[in-house]
Amino acid sequence: MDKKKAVKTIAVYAALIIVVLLLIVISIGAGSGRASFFQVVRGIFAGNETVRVLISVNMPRTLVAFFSGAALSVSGVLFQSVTRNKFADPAIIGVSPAGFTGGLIATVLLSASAIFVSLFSVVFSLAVFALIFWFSYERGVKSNKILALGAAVNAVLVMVILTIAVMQNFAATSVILSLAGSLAVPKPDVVHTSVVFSMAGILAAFLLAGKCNVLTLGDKTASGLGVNVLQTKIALILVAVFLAATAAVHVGITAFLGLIAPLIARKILGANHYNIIPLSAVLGGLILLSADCFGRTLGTPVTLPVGIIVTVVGGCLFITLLGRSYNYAD
Amino acid sequence: MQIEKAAFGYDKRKLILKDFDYVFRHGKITALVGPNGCGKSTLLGLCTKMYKPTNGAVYLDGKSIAKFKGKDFAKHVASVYQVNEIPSDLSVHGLVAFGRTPHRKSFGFLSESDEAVINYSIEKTRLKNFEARRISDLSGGERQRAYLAMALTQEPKILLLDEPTTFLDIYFQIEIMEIVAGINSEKGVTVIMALHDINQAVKYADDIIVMKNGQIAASGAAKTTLTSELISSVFSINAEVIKTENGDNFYAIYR
Repeated sequence: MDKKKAVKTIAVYAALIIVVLLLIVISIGAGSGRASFFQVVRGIFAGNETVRVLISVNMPRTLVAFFSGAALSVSGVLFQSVTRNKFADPAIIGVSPAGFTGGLIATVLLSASAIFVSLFSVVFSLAVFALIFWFSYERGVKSNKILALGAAVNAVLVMVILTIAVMQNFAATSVILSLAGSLAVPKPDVVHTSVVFSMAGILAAFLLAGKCNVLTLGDKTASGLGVNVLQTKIALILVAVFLAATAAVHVGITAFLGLIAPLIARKILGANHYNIIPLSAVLGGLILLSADCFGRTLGTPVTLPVGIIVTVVGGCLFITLLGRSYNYAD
Repeated sequence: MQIEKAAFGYDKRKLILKDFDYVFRHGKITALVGPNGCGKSTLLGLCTKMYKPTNGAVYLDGKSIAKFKGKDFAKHVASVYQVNEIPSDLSVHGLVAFGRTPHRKSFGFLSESDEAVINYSIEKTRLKNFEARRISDLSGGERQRAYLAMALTQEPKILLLDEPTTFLDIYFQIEIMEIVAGINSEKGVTVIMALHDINQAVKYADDIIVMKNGQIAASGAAKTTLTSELISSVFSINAEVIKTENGDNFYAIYR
């Protein structure tokens, strides 16, 4: 039985790697100045000039989309572990909006560089979540309170974002677009920051996978096994907020990705976090990148922001799952 | 394990446990009985480090348990609770393997000696045929045995049981008690258990502590400590002590 599981695991990852590669090629050709899949493949091998331009235009966007999706999904896994609720999502509990607000403040008011924008966004979300955590703590972390407070923070922050936009005389649409994840052609330092931060966070999450597994047994049993539950949860929250904020700078308040990707990952390879974390990362990256390709193709010459597609599709899926009383406790 | 002048309360004015002094006998089974709210679970909570005593201390091998590191403590003391979370998609073997957590680094696979301990626990708790089954598919009695197996896999010196049989039918209650008694006699593990059923406490325990209002109402050998007067004063019910054919006491309880 173990051998069967190992084979399945390898097969799943191999298949996903192939899908990722295919999707990257599609993504390079998608959007205005469109090229078909085969044109891009031929162009890559023949060193075609048009394809080279397409790569330089679309590759940064592709990378940022993939890694932001991965970061957001893994962040979801960690929040689900902390709250012991499969339906926790970084956007719904206010962390993505906080990250976006932080990013907006750093960009607009401080006109900072890419790394600083990301760092400021992380620090700002940590501060916001520390507040949520503080209020929800009574003799242990109270999960339901985290979820409820987070929803309130979410609502408030979206208005704060719009206020900043209005005060700064932005064309409101530009902020609304980036709030929904416009992924507008990112500069090289933005790409580097996004990739490095996301990979670092996902690695940190993977190192905590064993602890996540023990936490599934409940706080009481976990501490009986010698795990410091409070310390572990704080570590998980730090990594989760870091990842969500890193993603929010690029994909705005894209909701439900952090919930859908882990849900699919659990269905495919089971409840072991050593599988859930890497698998959610890849699936999340895939979903966001597909949504971006779709958004670029569907509305040409206008690009539909990723957040709109992911949130609408993910939201409908979530409603269906919960509405059909998908085993809530499970 | 020794409890010295321990007191505990969420609110300082309202203590759940007062001035509690007791030395648990090494290698013996001690049962805690008493009405709801008498402080049994709180006392066990102090022994597992879930609660910090507001006064006094709990000692293990002469060292205050507050000074033990988490993993080190988990190698000495394991507990089984009345109600447990039921993780999805986890096999019996998977659950029992978690018992090795305090003995292992966070990374790496189970060693052969880990597997040996896991197998021993699974056999002891009569779960060999259920090994690959999912926890969520088990009956209450099987599930409780799986959690007991996990606790055993920690290779503890002290096993704490907080009303482990409350939600089980009579057959499974006795099965759990017999497994616990077996472990105690085979491995010399000290057992401290809170129980509702007085007859089970008397049958399986060496020592008994009768608690009322956060204090010891009586303690001593399980076979002789309980009298019908004691039971009626602690539980506010009547009890008649009946001698069974093999000379044991049986407590018939009525209002």
